[in-house]
Amino acid sequence: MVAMDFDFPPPEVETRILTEIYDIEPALADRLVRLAAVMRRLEAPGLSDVASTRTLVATGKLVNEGLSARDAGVAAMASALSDDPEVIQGLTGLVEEYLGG
Amino acid sequence: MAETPAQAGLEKAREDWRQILSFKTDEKKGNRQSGLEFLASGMAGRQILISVLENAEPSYTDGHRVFLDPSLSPQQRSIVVVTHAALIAADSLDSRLVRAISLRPAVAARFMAMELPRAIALRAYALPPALLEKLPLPPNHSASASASLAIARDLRNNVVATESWLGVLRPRRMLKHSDTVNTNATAGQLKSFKVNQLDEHDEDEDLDTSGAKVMKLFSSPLGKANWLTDMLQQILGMGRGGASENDDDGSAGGAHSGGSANQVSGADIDITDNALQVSHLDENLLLLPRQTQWQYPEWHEGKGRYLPDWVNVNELEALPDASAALEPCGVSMHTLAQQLFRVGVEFENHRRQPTGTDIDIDALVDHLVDRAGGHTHEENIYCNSQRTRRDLSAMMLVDVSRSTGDKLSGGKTIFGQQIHAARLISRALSHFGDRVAVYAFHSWGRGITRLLRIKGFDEAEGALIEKRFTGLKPSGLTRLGAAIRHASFRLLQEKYHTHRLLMIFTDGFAYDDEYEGRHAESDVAKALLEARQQGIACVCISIGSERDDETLERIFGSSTYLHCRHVGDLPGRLRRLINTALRNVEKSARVA
Repeated sequence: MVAMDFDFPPPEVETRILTEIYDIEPALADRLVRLAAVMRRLEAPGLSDVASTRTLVATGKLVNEGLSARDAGVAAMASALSDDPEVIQGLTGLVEEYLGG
Repeated sequence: MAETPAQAGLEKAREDWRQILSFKTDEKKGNRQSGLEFLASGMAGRQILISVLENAEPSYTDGHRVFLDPSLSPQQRSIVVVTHAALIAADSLDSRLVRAISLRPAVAARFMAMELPRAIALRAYALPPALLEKLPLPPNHSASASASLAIARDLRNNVVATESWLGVLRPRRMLKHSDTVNTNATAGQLKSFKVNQLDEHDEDEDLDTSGAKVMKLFSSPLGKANWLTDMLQQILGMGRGGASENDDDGSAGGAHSGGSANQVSGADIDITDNALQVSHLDENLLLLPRQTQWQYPEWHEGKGRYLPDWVNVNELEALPDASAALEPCGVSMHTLAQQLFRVGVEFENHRRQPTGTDIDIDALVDHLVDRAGGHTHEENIYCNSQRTRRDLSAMMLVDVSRSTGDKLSGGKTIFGQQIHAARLISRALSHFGDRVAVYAFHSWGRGITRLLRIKGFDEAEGALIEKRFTGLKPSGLTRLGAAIRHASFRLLQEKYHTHRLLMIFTDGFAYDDEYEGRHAESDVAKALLEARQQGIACVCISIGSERDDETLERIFGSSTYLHCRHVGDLPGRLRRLINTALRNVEKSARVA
């Protein structure tokens, strides 16, 4: 039997995944990775899934399709990770802190 | 360039998205506040709340909440929140360090100036770049918090001060907070009455003296407090009146038996008139039952029989409270989840498999019979051993009696640690799709045993459940037998799951009015036996106390009793405990 421990890639590697494989703007990739770092340490109730690299990719792709960074973040990172209205509200605020403006 | 239909479709989809998302922009203000709380909590790795101060004064934190100067701009607010959360995350506000800078505001300011660059550097990878640019960091360097303290203390060292709007450290607020967390809820809430007798509160007082103080307070601020005093005496079991009346009414039985329950529900109506005030006194009172919901027997060892309908049990919803925070315990849900993932996961022999290591004789015979009869089935004739996870209904029963509020070394309380552990386990198990319920329990004699529902089996995890966890306060005593019987009743209502688990968190052995020693011990043992005979696996967990509780260990059995000094010890030991309990029950079921 084999067991392997997986963790999230370190920030530099994760940024490279976003920029080099998925053509996400380096500045946006940087913000996404920072946002993910905070979300992964966040223990909010009702936040059943943590922000995976895949979540970041989805957000970046939405931006590449023309959505603003804030709206993409709300769609793919805030609303996608919870069903709880209060948690979504908090996550939306957090997303705005990193991706808004 | 002419637009292709595909491009037009894409543009349409984008427009739809903008509309769908725009409603969230309207709520921007609420988002900001809770966004800041999420930012702070994510930075610090534990829950941090945010409040805006009423008057313009420097921002500060008490270690659980960041208080913001209302005159700051929105961006400055974000920066201040990040600053203080980073200090919490970097352990700069460890109580040992904070003690060293208390009463010396100049040293506190220098310490903050020394620590800030270090704390921010630790979290720089997660900071929003826009804030990072605007954050004025003094060019001070130190390797650790204690090094910072040493430099700050020696006034000969030159320390560049932080910008004043970043706020200040207020050591006494931090110490005060860590000292008063959950120690005596009543005292904390009474302050809102501006009653000063209780300002400096003795942490070591026992139930009786705290009761006496409550009495004293009741008589002064509310002139017509007689009925309240009477009622409290009943509830707190003070004075002869309440207890003896209980005895006299003992045999009454019926749907609405105990004398005390009657009186209390009468008073309840009065309370609701004054709801606003009384909820500050003790919200528990508001929850008192209007009538008894369940009655359970109690085992009497001496008489060798059950005392029928002996204990009144009520089930109530725990009051949510968003303003409080859970005591930190240093374990993340994900660590626990990694361990619990394998709870109930075992090799099981699966029969009638299409492939496998062994032939399933029954299936083979069936197959041959079918074939001889002209039917052709798939050849599912093998046995295979596979790892599978069983369905599980788990109930957590948390003792929130008064004694759990006692302080442990390090300022934590058994109460806080138990609650936190229950919350983590509940979330971890729910995460895997198990059905989980969490109840807190306490009692005031056999007339009132209450189970507070924090999370019912059918309720989803979420902010409401979290608020019910944080709203709990320790009070009352422990009539464990009745609590176990009611929890079993609830677990047995879980028809669709075959594996049932009852986890009891308690600080020590059961104690209630006329419920102690041999009697309590034999009743709990009996209640556990009943539960196990009904196929419920039972485990008991004590967290925080200095040593094993011999009585608990004797009653639960050493393999299903777990004692942890810290919540941090749980992840490594919990899985084995639960698996053992599940297996024991299964074995005894097979024997029966």
